Amino acid sequence: MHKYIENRFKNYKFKHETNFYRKRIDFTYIDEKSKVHAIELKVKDWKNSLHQIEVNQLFANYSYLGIWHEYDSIVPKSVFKKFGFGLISINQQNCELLVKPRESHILNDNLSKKIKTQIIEGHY
Amino acid sequence: MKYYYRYFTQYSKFFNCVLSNQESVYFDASYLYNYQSSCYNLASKKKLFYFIDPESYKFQYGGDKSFYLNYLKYFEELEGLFDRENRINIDFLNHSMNFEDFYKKIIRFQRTMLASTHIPLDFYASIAEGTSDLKIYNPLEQLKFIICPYFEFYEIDDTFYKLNKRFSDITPINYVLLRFPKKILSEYSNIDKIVNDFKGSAGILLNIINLNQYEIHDLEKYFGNLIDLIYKFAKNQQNVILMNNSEFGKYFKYFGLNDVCSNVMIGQKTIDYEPNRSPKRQANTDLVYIPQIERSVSITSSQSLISRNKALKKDYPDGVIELSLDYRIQYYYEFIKEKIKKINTLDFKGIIKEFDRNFKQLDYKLHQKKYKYVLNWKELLNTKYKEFFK
Repeated sequence: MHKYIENRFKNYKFKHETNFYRKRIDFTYIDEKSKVHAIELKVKDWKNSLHQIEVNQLFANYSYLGIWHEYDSIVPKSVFKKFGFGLISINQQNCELLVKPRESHILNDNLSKKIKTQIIEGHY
Repeated sequence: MKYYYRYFTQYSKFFNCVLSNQESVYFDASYLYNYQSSCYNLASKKKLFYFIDPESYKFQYGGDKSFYLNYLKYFEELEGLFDRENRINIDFLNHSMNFEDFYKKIIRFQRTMLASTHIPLDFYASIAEGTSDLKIYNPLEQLKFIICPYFEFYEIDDTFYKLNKRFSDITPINYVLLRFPKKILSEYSNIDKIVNDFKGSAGILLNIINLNQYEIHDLEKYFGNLIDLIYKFAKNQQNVILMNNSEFGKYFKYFGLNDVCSNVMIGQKTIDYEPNRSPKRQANTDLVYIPQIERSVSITSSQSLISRNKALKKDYPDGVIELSLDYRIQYYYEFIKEKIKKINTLDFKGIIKEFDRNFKQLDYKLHQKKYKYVLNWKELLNTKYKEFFK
């Protein structure tokens, strides 16, 4: 899934496995407005991703779950809409945005800066 | 109700700077043997009350780590006590003389290991010169109780269970430590059997393996029956101390539990012992204690909790993520002290109200769901309380 998501966002500054305290964030990128996006990748198990997506809003302006397309129908979109999380369906050719995220209101500027630095330094 | 904090040098700042004088701690025997001076310095400086876990169950597993082998040196004079894999030789122990010698050796360790630590020369100098009115710290006076040798048992009435029973019968004033897997709790007949077999001992310590790993529907099976076990021991006028799961366990005070044991910042989790693994050198310190959910969570989860639930901001500054470990430990200690004070003063109704008041402070739906276990605890406590006292 990593290479498909990278393919979709390759025109941005991005990083796989960004360090965030004891966690590693699967995929992060910075958009043209300098906003940070964080994507947790899961094949199927969307329930276990909720907590991480929620915590990612501490440093990411937009936080998503990226799920393998075969399982996107089992994810309740209403839950993602309710909490403002994004949902992306991933397949070999494309990444489709199923739920648009709302901007985080718990963003911590210092954390966001640290993550941005990692993305910029780690980008090649 | 009080906390016995388990001493580890990784948290030396907590023990040396934060912990108040005359608080209570406990030392693992192998740890004490390896870090004798550090344990003595701490205990004497703060005049701490303490007990020592003899950890004799480790002898069932053997091992070749130096930390463990050092501890075995203490038993050198009992030739034949350990086999080639450094495991306890049960045949050797079955001879009555050896059995008693082993028992005495374990008891002596607890009575003398801190006491035999050298005392700084300047202390004697100050006494000799008459410049000191200090009373020498006598570790023996601060030792709360002594624990019999014990082994981990896997079934009721297995070899190790029977050995524990024999040890407990020698001197009833010494405490018994019962270490066993949680599945034992699921058979109710085991509860009565254990209570009956160890009813002669002055005190009981319970250390239940993997107690922290349970599904919600098993709460009654394990914790409900554990409450019964505690209640029945307490009814016999025995002191009962829970060695793990202090977060929930402290509330068993209402069913007769006397004290709990805990690591710093995080309740103790008793897991299967792995003899070939060295003791952890580095404890996880990226934790923040959140009183509303009764436990420490990762620093990132805590920041999210505080950012999303307004009521939690009264307890912590906004940028909890930037707080140093020292501050986080200080907060933890103050919260625990406050909680223990409440448990010691509030009646059962009052403490149940506390549960509700605390949980209501979480208004973010995802957090209410994630930390719902607090309400499950409350429900179980209520059920058991009605069962025993109504």
